[in-house]
Amino acid sequence: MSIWEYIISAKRCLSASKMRTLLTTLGIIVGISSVILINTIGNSLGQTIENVIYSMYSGNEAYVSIVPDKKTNPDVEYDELGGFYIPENIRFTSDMIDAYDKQFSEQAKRVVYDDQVFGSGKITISDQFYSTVTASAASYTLKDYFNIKMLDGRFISKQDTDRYTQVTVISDITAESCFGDKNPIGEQITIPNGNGVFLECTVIGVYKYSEQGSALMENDKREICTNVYVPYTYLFRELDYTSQDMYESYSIKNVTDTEKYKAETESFFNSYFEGTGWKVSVELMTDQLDMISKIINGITFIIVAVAAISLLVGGIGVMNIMLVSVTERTMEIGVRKAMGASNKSVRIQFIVESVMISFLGSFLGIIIGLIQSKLLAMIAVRIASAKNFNLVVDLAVPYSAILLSVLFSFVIGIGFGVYPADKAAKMEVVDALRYE
Amino acid sequence: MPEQNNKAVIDMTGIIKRYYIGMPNELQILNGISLKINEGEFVAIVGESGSGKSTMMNIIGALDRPTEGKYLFNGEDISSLSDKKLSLIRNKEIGFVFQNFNLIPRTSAQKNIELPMMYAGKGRKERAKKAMELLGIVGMEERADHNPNELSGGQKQRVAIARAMANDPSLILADEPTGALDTKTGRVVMDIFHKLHKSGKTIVLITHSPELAKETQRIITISDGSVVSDTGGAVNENF
Repeated sequence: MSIWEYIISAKRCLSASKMRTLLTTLGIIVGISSVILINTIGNSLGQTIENVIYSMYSGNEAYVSIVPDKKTNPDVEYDELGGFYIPENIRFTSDMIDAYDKQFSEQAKRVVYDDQVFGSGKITISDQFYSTVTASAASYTLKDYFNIKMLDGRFISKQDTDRYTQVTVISDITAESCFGDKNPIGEQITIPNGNGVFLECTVIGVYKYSEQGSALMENDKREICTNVYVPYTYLFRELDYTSQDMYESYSIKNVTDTEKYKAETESFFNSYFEGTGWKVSVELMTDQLDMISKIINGITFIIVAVAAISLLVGGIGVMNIMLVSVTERTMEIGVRKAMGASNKSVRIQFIVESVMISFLGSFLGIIIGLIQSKLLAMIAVRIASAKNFNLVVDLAVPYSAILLSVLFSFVIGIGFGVYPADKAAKMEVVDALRYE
Repeated sequence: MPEQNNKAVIDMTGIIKRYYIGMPNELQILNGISLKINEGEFVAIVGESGSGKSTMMNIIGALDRPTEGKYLFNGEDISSLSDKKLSLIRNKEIGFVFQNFNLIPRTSAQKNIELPMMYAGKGRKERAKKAMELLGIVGMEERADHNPNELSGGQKQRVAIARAMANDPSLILADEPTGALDTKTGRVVMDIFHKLHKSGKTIVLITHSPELAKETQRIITISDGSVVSDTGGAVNENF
């Protein structure tokens, strides 16, 4: 008797009592669909977070900083935020950085203090014309890095940072708020920078502000906080800011082996700091992304494991019904044996039935799980858009979870079908025929 | 005495069956039965309830093994075969007809008849053809697609007889085949057995009814686990 005939026979038997079959599969349906749903949520969440982070930066990034070498320098005192004081003589020098830029020009492009924003405040021209801004330390590389679109004038150049020029690039929103229809290029503005520091700068360019998140909720353009870019050298001099020398930031390109790049960069700088008790640490953005996805994966795994327990319960349900079915069909088993069915073929018959129940359950579970995920994603996007937040949910179909579910249900079908099938196979034909 | 073929289908010597062996309530049901049934015979085994005739039937039908004794089926000793080999004998050599019909529920008449052929590994087309042919012999062609719950008792038994013949067995073993039927439908069923006998089949009929037994060629009466009378001449000489 071929396996196909067992399947046809099992199908006939299961469809003879549709309601019971469906109820039997219920446990497996719930189990599989929740595994799929949670897996999809986890994957999509991870993907969404990754996308948000990637959209904030145009590429991968490496932070190069000086940290204490714990082995040779165990006495460094940390403040409550984990910060520490680095002696005056332990600094990145421009020689070091130039040498690094030269050697690693293929792999890394210096970004310099990107996103190092300082205090915010208001630029005030008159009572009516003012704008809320945050001063941002900039180098010429920032324009490409953040993909800044210039509407008028130019961005900060290398000469500006080299010469500490007092210039600034403002957003179109600031331009409109402060100068209305007037051309802002060449105008003088006073930029507040907290701590009573003010920067006197000439406007050299206007960039297009890209609307993001909460800014959309602000009706008054003058209240929208936008960046004003100032050459970092000038800004740091005015602020008496020294930590510039401890921290460098690079945009990495053409790097396939980030671990190798990391090691090479560390050893490059460490050669300067040998024996000082300080060393250089390179932190990659991918490391942070990896960590986030590790956390999400960990949480997802735990919840999936909990959902898988319901699969186990479903499997026990299948076994229960199969046992009832074997008892109910004792006479049939006896007849089949009298007609020449071997113990083996009776066993196969019942295992095929329980595997089919499990497969049916997992099939329905996958469909329901995918529909649930889709609905949830739609609801999430709708809620987000109602709150003016542009959420893009990457609904990844969890093929691995589907494959795993199918395999798992197969195992359940066999695992929980073996005992009832064995009971059926071992029945004495004489007793089975006499059973009432 | 009708003409006898000398080839023995059943050849039993000293068959003993005990239950609860080694326990205080050990029970001996068959006390050393010897019996020979030749090809083409139509034999009735009669006995009161509790006489051991059901146990006898189980052993004849290879459903059970004797505790002691030798059972040659078509010349092959099957008294101590494994379950797997016994199931092969049941499948190919013996056709069962039960008192309660024992058709598989929710399965059409045709599929029921195909069942023994399925276990014999015959192909789909061959099975369907043979099933229709057998349905013709028992006069049930037009009911091929009906499930057992759509058939009357007599019709069910006719399907069961057709099923018993599916693999052209050497022996048809019928256990009270008319026991659950009224006289009229019982008659139809008996007529089918006569028809099969005329076509050369070996039939063993187990019954408690002397009227039915009289229709056969040979009556073997069992009482308290022993053969008390045998109208035929095929009693084993060794006994």
